[in-house]
Amino acid sequence: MTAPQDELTPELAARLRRLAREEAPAPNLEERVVGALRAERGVASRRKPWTVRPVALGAAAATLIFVVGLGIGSRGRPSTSQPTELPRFALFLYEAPSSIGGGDEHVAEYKAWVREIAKRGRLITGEKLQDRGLLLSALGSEERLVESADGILSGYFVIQASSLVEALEVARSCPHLRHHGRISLRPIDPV
Amino acid sequence: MTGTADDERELATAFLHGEEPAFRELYRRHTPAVYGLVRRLVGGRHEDAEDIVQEMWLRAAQGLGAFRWQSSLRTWLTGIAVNLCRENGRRRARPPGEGNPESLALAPPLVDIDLERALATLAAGYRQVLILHDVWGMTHEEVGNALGIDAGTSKSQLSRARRALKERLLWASPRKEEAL
Repeated sequence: MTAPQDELTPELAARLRRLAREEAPAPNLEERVVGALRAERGVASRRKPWTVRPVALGAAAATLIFVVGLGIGSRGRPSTSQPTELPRFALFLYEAPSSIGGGDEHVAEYKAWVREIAKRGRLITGEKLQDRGLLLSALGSEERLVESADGILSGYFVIQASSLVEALEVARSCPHLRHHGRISLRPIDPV
Repeated sequence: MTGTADDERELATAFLHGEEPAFRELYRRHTPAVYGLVRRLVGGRHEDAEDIVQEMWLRAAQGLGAFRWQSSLRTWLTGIAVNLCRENGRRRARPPGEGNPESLALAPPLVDIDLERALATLAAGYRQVLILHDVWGMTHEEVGNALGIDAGTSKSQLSRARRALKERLLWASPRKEEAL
């Protein structure tokens, strides 16, 4: 039995019950959580206009390794187009020929960077590309190494940012630049 | 609004399959209530509350596949959040006046505080029991399950918590002694 002095008066009891109200957290918390989930579990991006193929990451991979865990989800489903709140940008990562061969020792670095931008709610998706691909033109197609004077296109990220300035800041923070790679930053046209 | 149990299960299943819109719907349904609880459990700190809510959803994502739906999703999420609050309390350095419950009587008197600030100055264990029971209406069994204590301990802790809260309020507003 509760001692009388430990009982609540009706007024105090009512005051305490009134505290049981919902509270909206900061507006950016939702994006932070979604970004963290994408990094941890591969929640499907809202925009999936093409089938995403999981990439086999072998220890002898000649190009950088994305430890993102993204793109694993529904296949072939129509994209559920919903307007994003922030502008989106594409980061195309080019490998300098001199840096080919660097692999496993950079994994931790990229992983940390991916988690950081995901935690900030900036990461949408990203994939590593295989070395070989098809270059198509109006004159037909030919198969050759996806290699040019600009280096090998080794992967990409799609991020969201409040502005080009912020997107540039994200791109500059990518460890790819420290390993002699190049990054092409392109705003995505919201057509 | 929490929706029907079947509706929640469908959303949870879709979320497990990586459907982001399903997650966002669950997030919007449950986060405001859980966030309000967490913020009070951590003594009002918004940053801590947001970090805990984020971690709650990450742990929920990991454990949702094994969730047996023996309680509502809201209750399950609340349990995860309360555990995280306890972990958070153990990690943080304790501010003056918080910690050893017996030291509360020696804490300096507080002037001009409202009920939420009074709660924020309670020792973490007292605050958690009082908020879960008197604010959110949990039974002592439910409080015990959430905090990893038995119902009897919850009752005794609640008595001490109420006593401590009344002391705080009494110092803040001496003329309101009758209302306490």
